[in-house]
Amino acid sequence: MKQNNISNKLTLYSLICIILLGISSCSSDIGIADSNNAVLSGSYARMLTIGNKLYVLGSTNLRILDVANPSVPIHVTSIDIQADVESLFFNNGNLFVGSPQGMYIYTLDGSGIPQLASVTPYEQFADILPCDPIVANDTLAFSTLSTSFDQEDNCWRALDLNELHVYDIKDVSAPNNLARVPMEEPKGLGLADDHLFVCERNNGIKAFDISSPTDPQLVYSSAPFQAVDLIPANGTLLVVGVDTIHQFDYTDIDNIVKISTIATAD
Amino acid sequence: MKLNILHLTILIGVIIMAIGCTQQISVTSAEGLRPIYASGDDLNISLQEPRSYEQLGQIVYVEPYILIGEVYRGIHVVDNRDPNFPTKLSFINIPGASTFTVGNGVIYATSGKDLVTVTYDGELLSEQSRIANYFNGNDAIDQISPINYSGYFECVDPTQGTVIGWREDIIDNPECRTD
Repeated sequence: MKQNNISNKLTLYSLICIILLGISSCSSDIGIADSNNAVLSGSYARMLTIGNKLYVLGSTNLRILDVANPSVPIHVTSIDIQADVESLFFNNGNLFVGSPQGMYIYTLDGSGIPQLASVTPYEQFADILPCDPIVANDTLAFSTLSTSFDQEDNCWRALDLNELHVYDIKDVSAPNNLARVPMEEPKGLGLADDHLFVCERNNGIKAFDISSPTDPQLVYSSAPFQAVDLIPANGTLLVVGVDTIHQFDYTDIDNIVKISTIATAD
Repeated sequence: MKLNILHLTILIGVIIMAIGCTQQISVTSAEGLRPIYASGDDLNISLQEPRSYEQLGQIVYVEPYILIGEVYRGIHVVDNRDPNFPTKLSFINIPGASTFTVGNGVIYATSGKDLVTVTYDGELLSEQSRIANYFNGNDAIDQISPINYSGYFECVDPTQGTVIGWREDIIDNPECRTD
């Protein structure tokens, strides 16, 4: 009887091993199916997975789903934000929600449920609707405000607010505006250690040294091209325009080089 | 009462004028966007050959793959094993898609008002689950009005299906407009 048990267990274990081997060999080459691979999102993300939760922005709310079983999301709750929300960014327990009305910072509790830490309104510009993605590290947050649109009859164009904002967020309940940098229709942005990359809608990308956050130093400006969002990834910068993907090598920040382009016709 | 030729001519003339007047008065038209609908099997998620980039949206990097949203259409997949020579790998056709992400080895995406879960190992694509009508009203704003657009458009009739795109057209009596 006991021996039977052992042989049963052995069979079970070998079965598990075979299954695990099968799974690992199937996924070893494939990034998307490999759950251990880092997922990097652009700054215009409206959906993010953090741990066992999936966060989805509606137009004025944030939905939280449980994805403990990744293939079967289950709705947990929905948080009303009372603003036109348009972007999600996560860093070290803090969830940043970009909206034309201001920067919303939530801290995730032990269950992954966002608790509102602060709202930093762009109150002096209450009448206009800038697009403002946010990125952040542990002490600083950056957002771009851009009022220009493609359409000619856009009624906000005359007000023309186009800036990069820098905030001290060491206390997420009380962000402090450190700097404003004028830009040309700034769009998506991304952080790589002491450097911040920013898209300008029709003017390519810019890189800033942010080691002195009250006074960001421009260290690189590309030739003009359409740039909407970007992702810095270990020395390679992905930049997406309206219909083209560009990649830059930024391993040497003093010598940023475009290494490839994928155009619509390629 | 007998209709002679004169009466008949006047009558026809009046009718023609009435039609002409009616058209001139009530028919106004404008350049705008008309929704493209899909329903039934046309809403199925499928793996397709790479297609042209038209209106790129969100971007996700899961090394060595770049995933780029094509607004209303799905996700372009680029093999970026060599960033000097990236190659278009495939297109994940997700009708009515507006946003997506990747986590724990699966792709989450919106498709019209639905939230869908898809696995893709670089070769095989498989829909895992779908929460139908998860997004309502303004939370499926792309199902109500065109994204990144200002101008006239033909109002969406949800009974015709899911909006999977818009095409430029002359819209008669346009009642919908975005600013």
